[in-house]
Amino acid sequence: MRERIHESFSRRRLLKYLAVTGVTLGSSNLLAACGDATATTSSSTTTAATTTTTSAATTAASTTATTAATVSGTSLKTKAAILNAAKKYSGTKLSLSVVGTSPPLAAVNEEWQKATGVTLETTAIPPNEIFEKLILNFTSGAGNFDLVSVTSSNFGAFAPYLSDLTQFNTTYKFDEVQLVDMFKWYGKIGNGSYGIPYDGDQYMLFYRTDWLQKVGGDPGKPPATWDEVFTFAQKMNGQDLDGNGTKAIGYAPRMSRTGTWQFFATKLASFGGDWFDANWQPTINSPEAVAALEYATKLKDVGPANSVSIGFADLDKLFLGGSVGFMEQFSTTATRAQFDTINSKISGKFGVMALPAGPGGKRQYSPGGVSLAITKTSKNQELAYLCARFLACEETAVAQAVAGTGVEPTMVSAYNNPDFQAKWGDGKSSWKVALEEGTGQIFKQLTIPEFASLQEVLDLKLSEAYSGQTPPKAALDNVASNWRQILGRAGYYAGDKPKYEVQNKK
Amino acid sequence: MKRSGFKLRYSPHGGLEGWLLLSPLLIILVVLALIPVLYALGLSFFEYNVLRPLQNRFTGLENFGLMLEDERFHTALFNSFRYVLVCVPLSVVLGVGAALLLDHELPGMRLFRALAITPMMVMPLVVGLNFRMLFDYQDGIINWFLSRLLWFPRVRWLDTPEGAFWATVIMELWCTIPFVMMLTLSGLKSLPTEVFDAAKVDGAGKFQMFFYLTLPLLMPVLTIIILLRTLTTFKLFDQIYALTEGGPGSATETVAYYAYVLGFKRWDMGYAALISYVLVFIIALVCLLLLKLLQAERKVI
Repeated sequence: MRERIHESFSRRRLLKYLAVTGVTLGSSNLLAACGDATATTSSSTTTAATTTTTSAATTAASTTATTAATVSGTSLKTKAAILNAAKKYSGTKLSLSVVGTSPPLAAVNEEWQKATGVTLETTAIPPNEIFEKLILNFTSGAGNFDLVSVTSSNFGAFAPYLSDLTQFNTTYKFDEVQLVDMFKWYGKIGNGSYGIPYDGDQYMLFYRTDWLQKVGGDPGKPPATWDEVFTFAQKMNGQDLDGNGTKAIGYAPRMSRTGTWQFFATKLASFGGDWFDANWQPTINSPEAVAALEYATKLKDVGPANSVSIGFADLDKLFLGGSVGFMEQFSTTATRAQFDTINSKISGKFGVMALPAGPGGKRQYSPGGVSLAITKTSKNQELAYLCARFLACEETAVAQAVAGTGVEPTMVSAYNNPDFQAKWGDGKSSWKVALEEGTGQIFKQLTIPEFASLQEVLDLKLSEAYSGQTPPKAALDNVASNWRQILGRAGYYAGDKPKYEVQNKK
Repeated sequence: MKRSGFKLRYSPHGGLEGWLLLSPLLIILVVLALIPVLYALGLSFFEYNVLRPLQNRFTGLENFGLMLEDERFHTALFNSFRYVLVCVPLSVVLGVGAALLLDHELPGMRLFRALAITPMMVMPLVVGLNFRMLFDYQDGIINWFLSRLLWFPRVRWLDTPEGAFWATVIMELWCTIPFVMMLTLSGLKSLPTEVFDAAKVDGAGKFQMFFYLTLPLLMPVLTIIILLRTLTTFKLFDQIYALTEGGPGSATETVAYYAYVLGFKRWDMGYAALISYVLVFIIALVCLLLLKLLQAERKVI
């Protein structure tokens, strides 16, 4: 009898014990989802459960635990949770390639290595070479990077060489991170998700508040349309607004051949244009696009004498040097203009606003940004994912942004962070402008593999239009014809390609 | 009976042993030169894009047809010829002139000669980047010199098609005049002095001696210089890449630069290979023509 009682008790207790263990482990995931940094990872949970016994009851418990982990996922909402999850990989090494202009801060790298014991080797590649370098790296099968930072427009070309992160995102509850609308398309190709948004790029219109006042404007109510911007720029241009004998430049346009398509795209967005129609027929020479280019070309009249060769780096130099009234530039510049007192002559004398509206309304161009992606050849897929989440998490993003690295946060919570609001941009309203612009109507960059070719042709013809070699309409007609040829060779008109998602639907 | 020009006539000493000793070099040449050249030739008959590895296909002469209709290629070809026609004569004339000036044994002349050839030692990309700063509209030293010292208006060197063209010409001349000067100088040093002594005795003036003696005697060296300069000017790429990136628009885009764009911006390797082959063919043809002309000139002299 004693023996029977013991036997019965033992079975019942064992099942009960295992069920409780399963529930407890499931709860720990739930706690982790609520931000508890001490929660364990799903893999360790599963491993712990499956290594107890081989009985049927154990298997059932293990299944319960696994299901619980999968359904609820493991939260990586806090930096501590991420670092904790990566600790099990201590002693290993990760190789990261980054866009040269935005490598992680040394302090960020050190923190990662100290907390996890995982070495992070970083290779910085100049931004204008990153496409060439990575495509050669991928196609040659060199496979020397675990993590790569990829600009959004390059995902179409790189996707075949990158891991789809959908499963990791589910397991580690990436949907907890509330991204700003403008950055939600980063790293997405078809139904796949190939990148963790890392650097949220957006353009803002920078203007000199003191100059605006001097020419009859209201610094608190900057121009709302492109036409108004031109009018004020015209009033500023050539005037001695600082009283030091230097003639003011109304507007600094980015017209040098490499990258000028970005300068055009901001106008294309608000003038109501689009890249293609649903069947991939170029609409780059539509009346809206031609009007956008005519406007962009007109800005040369209120720009510096050498407008046609003004490039990305020149813009900051001109604006921070205090010689320009208006300029459109990435949000990063605001932090430098306000807090870099050595190089900036305009701290406290400028404002930022969302890019103005055009005839097509207020639609913001999303220039893409940088996401962190994991290469298919990486032997440490989960570790690489955890590292990407660490580099892109709110705490790291805020630290990097306020340090002026050029890496801007992609999540809403960072923009709502008071510390960030005080130290980023102009330290006043930049965060508000960023959120307002990021949640409005958006015009996206292209992500097809042929993007680099299309961009190169567009750059060339825009440059011809700016320098007066070709009239705007003829230049864009030529772009359309070239684009048709490039896409034709790539088989876009063969019928089996998915339709283009038209962005300028009325 | 005339023997075929293609028959392999070379036979190393020592028969099989000779071939064996030559084999490392031959293997290196085959692997590093012959195979890539033939591979590129084959590639030019394909639509071969690195970004679409599964869609690559044999297209025969389709790329050639594309090239004939490609306006951008025509512009690039025009630009390449324009650079050759402007840069080669200018560099030869100025280089020979500089060599004549330096062909005197004065104190410190050796040091001066050594300094004069330093541009040859600078990497073309570095040259391009430096000239970019020099030609800067606002802060460049060239415009500073023009506007502050000579009271000329500032020149928009890199903003207008003509300005960019002449900026690249000036940069190219800075790089290549020392090369012409050095070769000419060595040619001048090897000229027989007796001929000049005899001419002096006959009462020939300096100009007569130069045009009737120095120049004809230098013709073999000048032929080599002109051929090499033509060849390198057709291949003009690095400096343009660093200085103007082919712009503004396509004002300074050469065939070599366009081939780079096709290969490494568009990844259209098939078409890029064809353009490169066409460039090689054009260079060979122009050089052959020049050689014939210069040889004829030598016979006349």
